[in-house]
Amino acid sequence: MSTLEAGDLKSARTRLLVAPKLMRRLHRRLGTTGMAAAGFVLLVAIAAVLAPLVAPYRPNTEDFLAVNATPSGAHLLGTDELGRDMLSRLIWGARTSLLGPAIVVGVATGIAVPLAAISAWFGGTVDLVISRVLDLIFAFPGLLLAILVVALYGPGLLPCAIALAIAYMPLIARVVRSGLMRERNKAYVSALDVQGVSAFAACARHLVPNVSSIIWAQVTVSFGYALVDLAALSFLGLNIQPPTADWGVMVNNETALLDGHPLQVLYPCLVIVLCVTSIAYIGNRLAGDEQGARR
Amino acid sequence: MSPLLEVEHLRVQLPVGGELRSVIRDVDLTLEPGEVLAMVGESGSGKSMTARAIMGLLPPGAEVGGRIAFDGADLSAASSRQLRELRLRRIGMIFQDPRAAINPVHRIGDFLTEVLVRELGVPRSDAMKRAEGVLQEVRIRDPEHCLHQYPHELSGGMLQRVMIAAVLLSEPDLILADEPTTALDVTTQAEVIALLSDLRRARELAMVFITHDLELAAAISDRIAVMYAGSVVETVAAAEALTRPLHPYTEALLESRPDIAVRLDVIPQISGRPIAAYEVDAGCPFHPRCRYAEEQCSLTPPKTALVGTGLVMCHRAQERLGGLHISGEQNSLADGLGAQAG
Amino acid sequence: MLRYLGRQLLSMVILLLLSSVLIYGSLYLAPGSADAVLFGNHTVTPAVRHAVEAQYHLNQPFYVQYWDWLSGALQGNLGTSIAFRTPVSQRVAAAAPVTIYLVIYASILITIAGVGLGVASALGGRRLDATIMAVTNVGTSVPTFVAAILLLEFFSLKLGWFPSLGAGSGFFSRIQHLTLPAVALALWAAAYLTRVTRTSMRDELRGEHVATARARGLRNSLVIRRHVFRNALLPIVTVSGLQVAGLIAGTIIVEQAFGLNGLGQLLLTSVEQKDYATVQAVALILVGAFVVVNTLVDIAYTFLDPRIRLGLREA
Repeated sequence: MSTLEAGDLKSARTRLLVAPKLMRRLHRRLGTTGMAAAGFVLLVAIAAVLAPLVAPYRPNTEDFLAVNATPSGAHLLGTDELGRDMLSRLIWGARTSLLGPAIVVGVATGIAVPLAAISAWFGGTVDLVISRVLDLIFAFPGLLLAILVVALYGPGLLPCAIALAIAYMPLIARVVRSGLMRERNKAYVSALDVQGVSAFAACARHLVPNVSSIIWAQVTVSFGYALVDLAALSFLGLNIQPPTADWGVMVNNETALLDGHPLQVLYPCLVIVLCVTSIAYIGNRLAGDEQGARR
Repeated sequence: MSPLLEVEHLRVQLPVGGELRSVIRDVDLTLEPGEVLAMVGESGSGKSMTARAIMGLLPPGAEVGGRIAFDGADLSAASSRQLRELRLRRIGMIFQDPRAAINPVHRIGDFLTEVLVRELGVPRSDAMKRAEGVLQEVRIRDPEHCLHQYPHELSGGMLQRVMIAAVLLSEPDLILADEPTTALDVTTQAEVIALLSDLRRARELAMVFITHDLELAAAISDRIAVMYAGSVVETVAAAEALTRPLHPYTEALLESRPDIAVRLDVIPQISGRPIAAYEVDAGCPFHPRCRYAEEQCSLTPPKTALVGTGLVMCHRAQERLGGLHISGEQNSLADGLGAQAG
Repeated sequence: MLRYLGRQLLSMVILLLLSSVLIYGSLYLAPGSADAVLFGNHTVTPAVRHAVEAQYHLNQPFYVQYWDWLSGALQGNLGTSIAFRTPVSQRVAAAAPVTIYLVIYASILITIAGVGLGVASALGGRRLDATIMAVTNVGTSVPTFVAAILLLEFFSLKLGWFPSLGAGSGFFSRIQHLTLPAVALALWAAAYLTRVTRTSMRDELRGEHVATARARGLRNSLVIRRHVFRNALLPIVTVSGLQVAGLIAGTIIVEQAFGLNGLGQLLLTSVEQKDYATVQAVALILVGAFVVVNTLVDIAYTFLDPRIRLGLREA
């Protein structure tokens, strides 16, 4: 009986200890500032997911009695020219503003990593062809590619996100490829070869997991860039369309500036800057100092 | 004749992570005009730092104590202008790795003449002529072609000759050569050493030759200063160092060099690891590794004293001179040392 | 050397050709592109349709149309805007100057501020370095469109120092009108270039060849110029080139924020109006400029690093 209790206690304790252990590992990677940054981003993400629960109003509820209201108890951050609650719009806006970059990074990494693996594994002509194709795509700035795609398919989150994903893919592929190349030359890879492990299995189970830190750093850094570019596309009227709440859409409100209500524009600006700074900081920490700042 | 270079009680501390750490604890050196002094010691013993301190090239934040005098003038009191004047005309320095020491983006000709043209007001064409002359002097085959080449087109040995030529161009009285052959391959090493010793004879240059190779030091120099943990532990005439080392560290250095005439099963090493200058506490810095260490060695730091013909920093130097050290004993000692290291 | 240059130019031409195929091809494939604009909801007789299609060469196979377009573009004929029925080159020529001025202005700002602050940061004292680094931290975390909005709000609307909209005419008015847009465009890149310059200078300062130069008695200003800055230039040039190339896309945002009628605005309005001929032309110009600037950077490299010049090291 007593031994059973001790065992239970032990497993309970280990279960409890997993979280602090993970936290400590994260802390070692990110530092205190990095943890704060990660906490902020996590907070925004949770708010986005729980928007219907945490936002005081619906994003498009118009209150014509409180148009352009200054911050008050009823509207913590005030309202816009249609009397919509700014705080609620920021919270709801986090959904599209974070979902977009997630799609971009997901698609870009999903294409880049297999390409990088093929390139690194086979080398030679295969590598050369893939590299050249990547160079070609690299010649298109992401924003321009997105505009072209919008010209074809009309404005929207999906066309913009896919276009950016294609534009970001070469850089991610290049960085991951060079990491894989280093890995490829290590002795254990030839050992796998000798054991008859297939190329796919070797890549999927050994090579790629071993460069996962490089991939994560790229994912984080790209996420930050995608957030900026997608917000810029919203600002240009090519991505999310008004009246949907989105940070970029909210920044594109020159009437508020001209009418003397700059806060309506400055709030979304501030949120974007905070998110971008936090993500960039985390990305740079993951990439190790200066490396992540390439681009 | 007054000495060309005098170093007295030189102490250097470098900032490492917010605190100052000693790299040179107490170094005394003298050098007569035309003399070659070799400084020997393991990496980290402070020999390069001593050279840099003489040149005034210590990293920012370094604390320097003691006195360095060149040709009677105290360098610690010198203005940066006067220091520059010394470097321009009187002291030259040759670095370990010529590939790192010579700027890769300028042509050899530009590199050689930049000081003449930009600091000493020599017309460019004259400077080029002189550069061609010194290249010939350092035995570079096609000097004219070489002037137009970039550093990466030359081999390491050739580059080190270019480096030596650059130093010769300012016609110095003293050359500090900081392991000038360590980065080169063996055959080139011999050529560069031969070149240096010919040049210093022909030009009557004084030289401080830094190396970790005691035999090489003895071959090229008149006197040898052996450094350990930021101090000079023995200064002795070159011939004496090889035959009658008085400091146990010098002796150990000699033994750890395999003799090609005798086949040894175990190459003797000096047991323990070399300590850094800032790690030295009470007593003799070498005592943890010294096979002759006594109680007093771990308690009081030995003073440098004239023993026989050399200056030795060892409590037991006098008795060792008296006869403990016999050359025939060396092999058995080496065996014991090897076993100890294993 | 010549061979290296030739290879660079050849790969640039290939890249330009491929991107032109992509640009033309993607819009060629656009669903019902030209028809929709030409005919709208009208139903037309096959004969009329045929005549119109022949007028715009829509009945030719892809490669013929592409070749017509490309050879026209090379002669300065960018096709006819189907929506406006005016030559695209006219519209491009009207919009290009603003964009060109803006990019040049911003490039100058980036280079002067980025290199200047970076050098100051690397050589100056600890406090100066910390201040400059703090400023660049802010600079790199403000996206271009946010910078544009903030500058517009504070310097134009609040303080009234600069006009808020339009490009102005005449040199001084132009400068005045384009200052805020250029600063918005330059901010991020300048901050980034500052960091690259600082890192690069510091790396070189630690170099052994700098110790050699000092040991030979060279005065400090010469050591810095000939042995630190000259060597640090390689990454600086690469990054400033990339930044300038990046401006070409960034100008779209800034033109929109400040209401400048440049190529970016032209591109955006043409996208809205489904004016594909104009979209193709502007996209080709922007991508072309991007590729050309990148190639110029590669070529500048060869002049800065003798090791590449002789083909011993690949870029």
